[in-house]
Amino acid sequence: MPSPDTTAPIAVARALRKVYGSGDTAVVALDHVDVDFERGRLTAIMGPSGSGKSTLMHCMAGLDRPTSGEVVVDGDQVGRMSERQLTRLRRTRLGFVFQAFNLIPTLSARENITLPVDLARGSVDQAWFDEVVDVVGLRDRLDHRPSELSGGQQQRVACARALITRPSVVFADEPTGNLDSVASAEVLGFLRRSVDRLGQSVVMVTHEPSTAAYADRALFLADGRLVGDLADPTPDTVLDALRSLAPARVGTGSDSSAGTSSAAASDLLDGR
Amino acid sequence: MFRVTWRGVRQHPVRFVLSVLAVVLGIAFVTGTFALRGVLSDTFHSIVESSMDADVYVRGVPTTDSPDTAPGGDLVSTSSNRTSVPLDLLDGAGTIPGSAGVFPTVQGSVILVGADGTAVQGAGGGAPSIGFAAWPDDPSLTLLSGRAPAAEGEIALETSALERSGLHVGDATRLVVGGEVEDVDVVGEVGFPGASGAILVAVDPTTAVATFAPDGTVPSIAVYAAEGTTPDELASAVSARLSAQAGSVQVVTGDTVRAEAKAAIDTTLGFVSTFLLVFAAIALFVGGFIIANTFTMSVRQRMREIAVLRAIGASPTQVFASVVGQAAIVGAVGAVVGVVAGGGLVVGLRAILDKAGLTLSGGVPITASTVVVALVTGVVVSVVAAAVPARRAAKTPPVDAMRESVTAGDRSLRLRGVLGLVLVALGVGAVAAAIAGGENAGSFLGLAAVLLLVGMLVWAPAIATAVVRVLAWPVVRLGRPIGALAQGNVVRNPRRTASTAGALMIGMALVGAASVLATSTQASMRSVVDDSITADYLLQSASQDIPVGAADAAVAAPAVASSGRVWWGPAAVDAEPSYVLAVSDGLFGDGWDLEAVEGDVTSVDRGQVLVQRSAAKAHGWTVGSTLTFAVPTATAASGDAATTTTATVGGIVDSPAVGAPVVVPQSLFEQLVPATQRILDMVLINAAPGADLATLRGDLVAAVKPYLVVSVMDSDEFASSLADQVQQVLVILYALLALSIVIAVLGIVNTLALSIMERTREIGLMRAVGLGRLQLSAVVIVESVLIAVFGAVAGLAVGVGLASAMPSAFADSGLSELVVPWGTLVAMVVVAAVVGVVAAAWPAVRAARLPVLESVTYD
Repeated sequence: MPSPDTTAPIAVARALRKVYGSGDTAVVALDHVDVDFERGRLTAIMGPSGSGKSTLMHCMAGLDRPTSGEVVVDGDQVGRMSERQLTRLRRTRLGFVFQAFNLIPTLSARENITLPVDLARGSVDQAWFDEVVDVVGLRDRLDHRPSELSGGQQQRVACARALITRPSVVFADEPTGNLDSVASAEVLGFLRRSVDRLGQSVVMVTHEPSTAAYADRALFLADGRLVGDLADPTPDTVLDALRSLAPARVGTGSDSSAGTSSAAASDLLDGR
Repeated sequence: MFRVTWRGVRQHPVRFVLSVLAVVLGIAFVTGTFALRGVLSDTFHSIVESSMDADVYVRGVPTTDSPDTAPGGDLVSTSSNRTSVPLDLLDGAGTIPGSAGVFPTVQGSVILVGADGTAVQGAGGGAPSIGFAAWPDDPSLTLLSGRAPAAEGEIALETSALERSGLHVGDATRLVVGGEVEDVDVVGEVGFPGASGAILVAVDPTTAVATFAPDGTVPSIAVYAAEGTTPDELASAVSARLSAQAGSVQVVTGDTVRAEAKAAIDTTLGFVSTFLLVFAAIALFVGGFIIANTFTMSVRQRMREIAVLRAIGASPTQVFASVVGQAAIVGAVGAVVGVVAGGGLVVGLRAILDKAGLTLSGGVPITASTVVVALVTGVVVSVVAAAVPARRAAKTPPVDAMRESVTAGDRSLRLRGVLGLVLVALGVGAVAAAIAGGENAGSFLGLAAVLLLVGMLVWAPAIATAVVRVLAWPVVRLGRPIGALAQGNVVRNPRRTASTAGALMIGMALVGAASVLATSTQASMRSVVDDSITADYLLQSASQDIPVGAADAAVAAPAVASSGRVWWGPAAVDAEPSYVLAVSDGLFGDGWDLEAVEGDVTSVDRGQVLVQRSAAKAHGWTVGSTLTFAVPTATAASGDAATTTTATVGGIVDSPAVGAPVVVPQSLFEQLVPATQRILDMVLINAAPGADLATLRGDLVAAVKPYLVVSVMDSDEFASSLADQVQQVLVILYALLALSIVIAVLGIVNTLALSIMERTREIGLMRAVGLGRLQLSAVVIVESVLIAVFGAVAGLAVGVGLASAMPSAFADSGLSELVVPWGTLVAMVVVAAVVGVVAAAWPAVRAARLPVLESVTYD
């Protein structure tokens, strides 16, 4: 049940730990992560490859089971749910947008958008459907197949689908990774509008500073740990933060470069 | 390149398992057929060796042009095609130098009553019961206990006959011999090599001669050589002795006779194994579909890998060879396992037959040539099936390696649509031409069959979309969104759908055609019986031949107004081996209203003969033609060659109830067919007007009871018994076709499993969006059912369409009615749907188990 307290975070992780493999080949993807995702906000999760950002999102969304720790989404203990409960959750309370391959190729745009509702054997709220479709700007493409839509249009259809059930959270994994700048702007603009106008909570994984700039807040992960938290990110501040997280150059350069990165990292944590 | 090829198969065994299984099934059938033929050949050859073991045989001269290949009679003389030999030909002054004994072949069919009072049946119910003369000193007979039958009323039983009958030496029982029931005593047990399931009863020589050689002639006389005399020397001595009759007898060595018998057996076995191989070929053809599908999908999945190979310098030929090489590995592995499986099949079959009492020879003859044929066939079928996808792989441009997602383009289906439509239209045209009748109806129908089957296979992808939409309509409406998802999946790749369904289509077409033919034949028979047989009751015997005593007892019952008898037997007509039917005088018109197409059926009563229309056409006979018949029992003592007699054709008939090409009067029949070969097939009984039929039936049943094997039927029951015979043939046909259906089912499983692997990301996406595991399984199951039903409907349409033309095309052969068994056809579609559900079980479970996260991020 959606929580009545509108200032409480929409999703929470406590002491979240995810380990792949065991013994010598164990890989710690997430190392005791504590994070609150704000309600009605667009939060970006960023970090270099292998930082655990995708893993964090997968655990939050119930697509992956944490090794230890707690995940709560809108009052539900996602980390402890059974497969069937998770399926229901995905149908009704969560929305997903992936980087690519978001749509069922044999269904039209309209059918793709209403798919979660159809799966739940529910009926589509026509007024909401119309609003979402208009916000996304796809009214004249509803009966086309995915193969007849451009990359940007496909992602917008995916976004519309993510919203159709009025989910608690929309999880987006590099939604503009495959798109050109114009299409990216369209999709991100839509996500932004859904947060501003419809009060939607969105969690987005990305590695692009320009994409993160659309967010209200940017979280930074490195080596499975939360190392940065930036409010109202801009492309420049995000770039600076990422630079300080970059691995130090080996060999050439002054010794202070190694120290600089950890100092900058702790600066990030302390100073907001 | 070979490493890539080999690793590709080794690391993805599941992908190829079902293809290998398809090859195994087809090759097992092929191997099994060859092995079975070998076993049967060995068995029958050893029977020949042990039962025809004399050194010299004296037999009649041929009456036909092909004396050694005709049916009927015993294998020594194939006596329907030779004159008979006087029984006492070699008796007389002095023995023949070098001979150890002379034994005429005196034998015929009998019915033995067992300890439980019922007729003793040979192995499997089909082996015959034979009585033969127990000549003293006959070397082929070994006395195991008791003594040989010497006086009238004494019999000895061969060992297995003794077992099967439940009798013991010293028991009394009854024997139906010479048409009469006799009380007999079992006085001994004899051993007779090569009995193999038949019931052998040794009878005292006097009774045997009186019964089985009533006119003093026998089919052959066996002569054994004494120590130190070779068969050739003996043959010369016998010939010298018979120089006076040189024109009417033949003296041959035992080797010659045995060789002829084995050759005749091998010819028959050749037909049987060819028949079975046709079904094996169908199975392999269907299996080819699976392999083609597997490799198409495998190539699609490996597109990026293949593009990389091309980018780093592999030539198209090398890529082609790689894919084809994988197919060859699949074929070879399947063939090897198939050979073993085929051998196992024959071992199993032998065990089953052994239980039924029919012992086949030991050893499973899988020769080196069988193995080679199997290997070559398996590899060739696989390679040919994989050739088209291999070619597509070879044409992959290297640049595809750089692309994110590579899909094999969907080429236009227009060409196939047009070509398929043209072929199907031509096929329909050929069917119409066949229906119009005429001489070439059969060829037109054959052409139509090929055109329609091939045309449907070519056309299938073009019509798949439309047909599946129609079939799926109810599910789409009722089962949102599962129905729409399933329909979308099936329709998205019409080629693959058509290819998968194609296998089932072939099997269903054959099954559909067979069932329409069967019901039409049954209806035709029934209508013929209803129309022409007017007798109130008929007698028939389970052993084919009605004992004369039974017939006499039955017609003597009160309330029988009149009766008629029908015999048949082998005879030589115009120097060709054939069969004739004989009727007692006045039968036509009194119990059997046979109508003549031309001429007059009652001409039979005036000594003329009737011929069937199909035979008349084949031989150019018309009313008024003269037919020449051989008279085999004309005594050879005169030294003349075979005697013949002639008769005029008085009428032409067209009826399946007449089971022979020529109908002769009873008097002529007795000249043409030796006594031991005459079979009293039917006795027709007309009740007196106003008689109580139930009482009459009771009287008839009581009259024939002592003869055990005779049954009383009215015309309905008779029609039903004919229909049952058709049904038995149908069951065998269904069993053989079941193999190709099984392979078709494997094809559906294969396609589904591979397409699920292909759609992993899409499935992951749907699960992420909220598709439950049960819903996912339902989608897979509905897909499978749609494909199966599509194949069934298309196949049945072709099969039924073809079979429907047959009555019109083959009106001459007595197929007069067309009955389409709609109930059976609907049942088959339902069976196809069930098959679809079963085929989807494993793939559906597999799909449901796909972990969501890994699937959605699958690359």
